[in-house]
Amino acid sequence: MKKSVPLMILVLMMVMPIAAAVQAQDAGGAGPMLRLYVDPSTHIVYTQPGKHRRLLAEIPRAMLNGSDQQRTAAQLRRNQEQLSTLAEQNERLESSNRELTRQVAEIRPAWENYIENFQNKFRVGTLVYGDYRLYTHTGFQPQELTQLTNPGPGNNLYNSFDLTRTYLNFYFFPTKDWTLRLTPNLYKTIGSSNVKVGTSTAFGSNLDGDLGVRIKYANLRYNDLWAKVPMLKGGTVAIGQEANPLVAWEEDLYGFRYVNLTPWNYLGLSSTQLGVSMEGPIHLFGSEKTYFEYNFGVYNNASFHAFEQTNTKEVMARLTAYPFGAKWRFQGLGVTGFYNYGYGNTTPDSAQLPTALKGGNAHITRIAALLHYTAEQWGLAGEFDYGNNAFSAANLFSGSGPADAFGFTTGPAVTTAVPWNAACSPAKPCYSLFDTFGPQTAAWEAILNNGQAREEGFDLFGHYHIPHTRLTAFGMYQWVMPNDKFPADPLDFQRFVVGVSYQVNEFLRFAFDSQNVIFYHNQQSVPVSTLARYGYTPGGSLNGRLLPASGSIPLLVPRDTHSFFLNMEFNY
Amino acid sequence: MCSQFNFKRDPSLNTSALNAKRTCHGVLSDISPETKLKNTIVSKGGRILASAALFSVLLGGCSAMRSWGMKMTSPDQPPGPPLVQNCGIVSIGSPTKYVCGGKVYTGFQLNKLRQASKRRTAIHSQPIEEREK
Repeated sequence: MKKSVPLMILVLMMVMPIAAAVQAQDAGGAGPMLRLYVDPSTHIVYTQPGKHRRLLAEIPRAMLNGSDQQRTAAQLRRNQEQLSTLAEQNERLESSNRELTRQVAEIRPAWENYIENFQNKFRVGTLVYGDYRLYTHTGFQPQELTQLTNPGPGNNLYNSFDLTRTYLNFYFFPTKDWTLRLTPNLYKTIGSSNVKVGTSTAFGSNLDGDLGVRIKYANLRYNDLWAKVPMLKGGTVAIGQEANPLVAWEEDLYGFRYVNLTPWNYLGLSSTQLGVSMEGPIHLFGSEKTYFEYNFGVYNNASFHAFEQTNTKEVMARLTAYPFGAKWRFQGLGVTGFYNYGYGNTTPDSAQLPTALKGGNAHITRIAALLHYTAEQWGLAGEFDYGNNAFSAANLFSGSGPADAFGFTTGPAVTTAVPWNAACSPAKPCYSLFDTFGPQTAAWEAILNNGQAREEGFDLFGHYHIPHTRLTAFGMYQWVMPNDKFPADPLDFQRFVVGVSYQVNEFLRFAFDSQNVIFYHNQQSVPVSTLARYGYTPGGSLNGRLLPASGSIPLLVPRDTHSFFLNMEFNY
Repeated sequence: MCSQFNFKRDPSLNTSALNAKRTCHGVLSDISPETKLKNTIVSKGGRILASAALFSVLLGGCSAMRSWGMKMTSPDQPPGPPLVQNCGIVSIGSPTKYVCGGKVYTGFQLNKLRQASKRRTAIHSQPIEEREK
């Protein structure tokens, strides 16, 4: 009996919490219940009602049937389900992450590819020429470099810092067979035309020496013209504003364009033309060597910085032969011929006016024949030039000219009758013969601009690298007879440039040189009657003043020019 | 005339005639008309050959001659990368192109080669311990 009490207590202790839970569940309307009964006298618990037994507790059967293990198992199942769900989510995330990584991986090469393509399809560079120059002797002359000007006689020791070229070279290669080049260039403007606005207002010109920008090159080039013809491979066709067949080629042959212009360029042939052209090498015998090189085109008569006024066009062609073949450009012995035929830039109605001499409306011819040899360390070229109407007074005075050639008068006016012109009066002032450039300008223009001038010239240029140094000696000699039909032409001149260049690095060069123009004839007077045969009008008018009608015009040989230059070239 | 006779031996001449020519004591009257004609032909042929040789030399720009001290086509290149000052310019622009040792380089390529060589030299001039750092 004593044993039954603790047992009953133990049973109660076990059952009570369950009973509490069963009550809670029962309140929720659970399933079948287990009822326990107790005999208060004996404290024995029964599962069935009986005499003296009282209901002790009601327990849901479900609670008694489920064990902790089952619940744990259920919980485990739930946990496993959750874990499985999480694993699935994780898998999805990992998959998503892998996809993202793949996409990023794909994006990066595309970016690199874009950059590579950009690099391959676009290039920008620059070419800058600058100088400091000092003239020990100033005079009238063509410009030494683009838009360089200097005061004329009587301005010795004139000196100046200049920029003569500032290219920004843009090249676009949308496909490997097409190239577009755009090259804006800085240049010095010369201008003094004021502008009148309204009835009583005027604006002063701001173009006097400003650095302006103009397009030097703008052309589209097709590179695969002869891709399937091995003999002509490398040939191109171009349209637009481009380098002409001679000047740029010769500048590279010479190698010192940053110092001075090449012969025909110096005489007025622009380096750039607007038109269409073809160029390329010719390989023979199945060799990689170049045996011929051609360049020809049709262009405007106007230069690239002038309006085209003609209804004609000019042609230019150059052919270079390398008898022994050239492995690289210019290598070895070369023979070059250049031909140019065009017209003065005049409108058709003006060009067709009947005149004794065609003057500026005449045809223009330029011929150059060169024999050249180029090695890595030196180069030498000789050139013969021949032309018709290819060197006008405007070309002669492009660097510096007498004011009378540009609409101004120089020297005192003569207002009384003089031996060389009896018509001089206060109403019709005359030019004097001395202390002026008026009659001389009229004579020079007659010699050069009569429409029948014939130019002849000889040139020699070259360079030699001084071994084991950064120095290269160079020079150019040019002998020009602007009109060899005129006896002892006072405008015949020789030009020579000598100097030494210092190569700082791959992108920078300096040069120190001397540039000289020598009008080599003895000073002379030319009879008006002689000049009259070349278009000079005796007693005619220039800038509102009468010119000599008879006698001779003195001092027709211009003064020599001597200068020193310090030049700089930067290319990138 | 003497030198002309010494150029080529004429097989038709006897020994005494040859000696006369060689010593220049002989005169043209010592020589038969046939010999004179042959000598004239030889002389003309020699002149033509000499002219052709001279023309070839001029046309070739003396490129084959190595005895001038300045080499015509293969300049003295110091060891290391080609240096721009030793190269010839073949085109000026963006980029400028140079020829060195028969190969054409852009200014950029020459610059890269020079910089790379400079770096290598700098590394090799360092003590080994510093290099390993």
